[in-house]
Amino acid sequence: MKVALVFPPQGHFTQPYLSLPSLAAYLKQHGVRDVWQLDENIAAYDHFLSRERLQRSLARSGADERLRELERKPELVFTDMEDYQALSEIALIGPEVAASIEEAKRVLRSPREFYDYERYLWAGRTVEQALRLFSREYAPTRLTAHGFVMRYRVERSAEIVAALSDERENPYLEFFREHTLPRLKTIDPDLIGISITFPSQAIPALTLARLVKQWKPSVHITVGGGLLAYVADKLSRRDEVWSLIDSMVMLEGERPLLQLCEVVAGERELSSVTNLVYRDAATGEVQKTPHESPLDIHTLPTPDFDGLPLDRYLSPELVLPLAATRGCYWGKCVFCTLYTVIGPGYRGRSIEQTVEDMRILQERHGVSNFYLAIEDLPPNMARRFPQAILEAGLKVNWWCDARLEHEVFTEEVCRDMAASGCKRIAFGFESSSTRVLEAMCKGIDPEKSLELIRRTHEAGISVTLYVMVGFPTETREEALATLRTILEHQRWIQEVSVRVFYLDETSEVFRRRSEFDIVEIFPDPEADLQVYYDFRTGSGMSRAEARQTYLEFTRALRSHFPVFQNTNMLYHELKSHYFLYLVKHGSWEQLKELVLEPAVTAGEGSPRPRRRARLVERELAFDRGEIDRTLASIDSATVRPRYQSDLFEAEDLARFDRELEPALPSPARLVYNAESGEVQCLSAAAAEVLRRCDGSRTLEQVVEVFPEEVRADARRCVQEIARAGLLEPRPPEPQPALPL
Amino acid sequence: MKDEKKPTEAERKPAQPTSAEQEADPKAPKKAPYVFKILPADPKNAFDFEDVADK
Repeated sequence: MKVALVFPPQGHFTQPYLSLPSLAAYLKQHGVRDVWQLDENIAAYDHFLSRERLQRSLARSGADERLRELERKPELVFTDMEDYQALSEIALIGPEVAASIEEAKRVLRSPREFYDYERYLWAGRTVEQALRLFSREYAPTRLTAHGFVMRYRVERSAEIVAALSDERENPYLEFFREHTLPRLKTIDPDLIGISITFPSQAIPALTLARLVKQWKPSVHITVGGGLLAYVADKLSRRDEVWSLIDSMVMLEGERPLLQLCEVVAGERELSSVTNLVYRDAATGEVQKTPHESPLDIHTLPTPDFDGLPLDRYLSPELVLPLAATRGCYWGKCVFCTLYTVIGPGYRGRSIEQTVEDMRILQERHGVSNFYLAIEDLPPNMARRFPQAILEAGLKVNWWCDARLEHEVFTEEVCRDMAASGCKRIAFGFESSSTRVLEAMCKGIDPEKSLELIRRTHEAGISVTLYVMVGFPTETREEALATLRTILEHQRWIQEVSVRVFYLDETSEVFRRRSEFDIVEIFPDPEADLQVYYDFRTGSGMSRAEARQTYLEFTRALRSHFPVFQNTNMLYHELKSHYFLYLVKHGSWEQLKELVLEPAVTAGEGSPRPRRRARLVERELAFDRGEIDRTLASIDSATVRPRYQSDLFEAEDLARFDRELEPALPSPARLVYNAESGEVQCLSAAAAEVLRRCDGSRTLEQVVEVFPEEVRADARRCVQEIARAGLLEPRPPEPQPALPL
Repeated sequence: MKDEKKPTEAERKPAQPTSAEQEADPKAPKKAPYVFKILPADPKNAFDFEDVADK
């Protein structure tokens, strides 16, 4: 019996997820020895982010020729501007990015260079640019470090099916054919389990299933994971799905997967597998088997990461996920669907077991960093876990989510947690309004929460707050008061994760929606897999107002929080990079002082400003800066509610082309700093200033070619060019010789 | 910081060509005399906070 477990794209690339290691460990514990774990997410990123693959993307993009075509146009409409933005970047830096991508990956995996912040930022920017170059080949499909979207909506099964064979826009068809299928053919499994946790995995997962079925129709393919808990029932009604897969596992997968192994081995009937959806071969009818109560979490083995490509993740050190609990002990927040869907019930491993899990994983993989993949840290664990870690003599660092339990997180508990290696806690703050918090059934007091946040911060633990904007009936004033509260207490808060409230059909808010003054919902008649609904309330913010307020939040956070600056790189790689930086520097204060806010040394003060040596430039017929602004000025979620994608609909694009003012030719220059990876858009006059900064001229000589009335502007331009990192830093002042 | 440099309304509008330039060649690129402007490129896949929260 050979079992292949697959984690399909797209998830994060900084660390492995927990689903496959949990399943693999359970199967092995029960005698299924031949279990293969394939993280095709990291494999795909690793391949797409390779020199050879990017050179192929570059050749296929035809960027130079297509950019010249656009530049011959008298004006650019909206969709032209989108093309222009992408093509001008590729034409400028495509070859450089392809040539340096291996180096960028090496930096992200290097324990020495990763913590050199300038090198880290360069590597992160290069990865992002590479993903844009790669995505262009499949436009409008977009793969980023944190998402994968296609024009096809994952809320509509017909569109998912259409995406599976779209050779032009589905990048995973080629990848799976060239890389995953050959591996699977070598393994030749009898059973394939595909884990689908995120909506971004739906199309890649089923794309792979389709290819596998074309190769080996007899192999049993089952899909499971968090997303299935929401959509399996609906998905099972679509006929085409049953030509791709054989079964779907609902909720926790360990036991059904083991039972499926027995089915494939001929030892059991499919109908006897619990928590399963399948189509009966004889009748063609979809069958749903009874749900069995979940396994005793104390009996589960330590997750097994063996066989995963642990050296391929884009981090210098592993941060392994570990589930000490399943479910949420609170289980009352009305916006949450964890206890209404995923359930049933909260279960926790013993503290001793969790400490032993850490010890085993440390021994097996030499890892000392852990992410507790739990919904919230339970009170008994907050009180006893730190001491247990210390008593076991473990040298570890860890982080997790937690509720703002005022009585639990005393100064002593916070201090113990910090001493045991807790570097970061993410709390569900949501709002500073008592009224809104009560409506949410959060069970927390905002004033006491702030005290708890202060205690946590003062103990040396980095604080992240989850915040929600647009809960039904929430007013704009209430939301802005939350923002003010956060900014006023910013010295205790290091990160904020903000999102707009979504109305999920499985939540208590949806079920009791009239109590939350929801007067109308707007189902999408074509979205047979719809989970989130657009809606209208009788009071509080409209959905558009909520989105606008959310955007105000994000702007304020980017302005005020060091972590969100520098193109937000640390936050991009949220899963582990920020955490690893915290570990490296020991505390937030150190990280902030030494890394995030170091003294800026720009070149504007140089007596003879000199442009950097490694600048790559390109003349443009249209002003890229203005085009970027135009494109950024339209928020897709405001135009039309879409929950799994921010791509515009074709009809919206056509309207923008008709109605928005086109861009007219306006000469400009795009400048790439190969040392930092940053790209700047310069007007023609600013480009001339940069050209004259050649190290031979004084500041006055640089600006002397401009008319007297604009020379002050030209001098300021030199300063801005320096701040943008395009000038060599000012050489250090010579130190006077010390007397002997 | 991408969001700190909010353009004024005047900056948003491309500079208009002079009437002499328009007469000379209506399709000629406009000259925007001495606009000293430098902006970081802001490509489309700049992240959304919500994307990260989900994973």
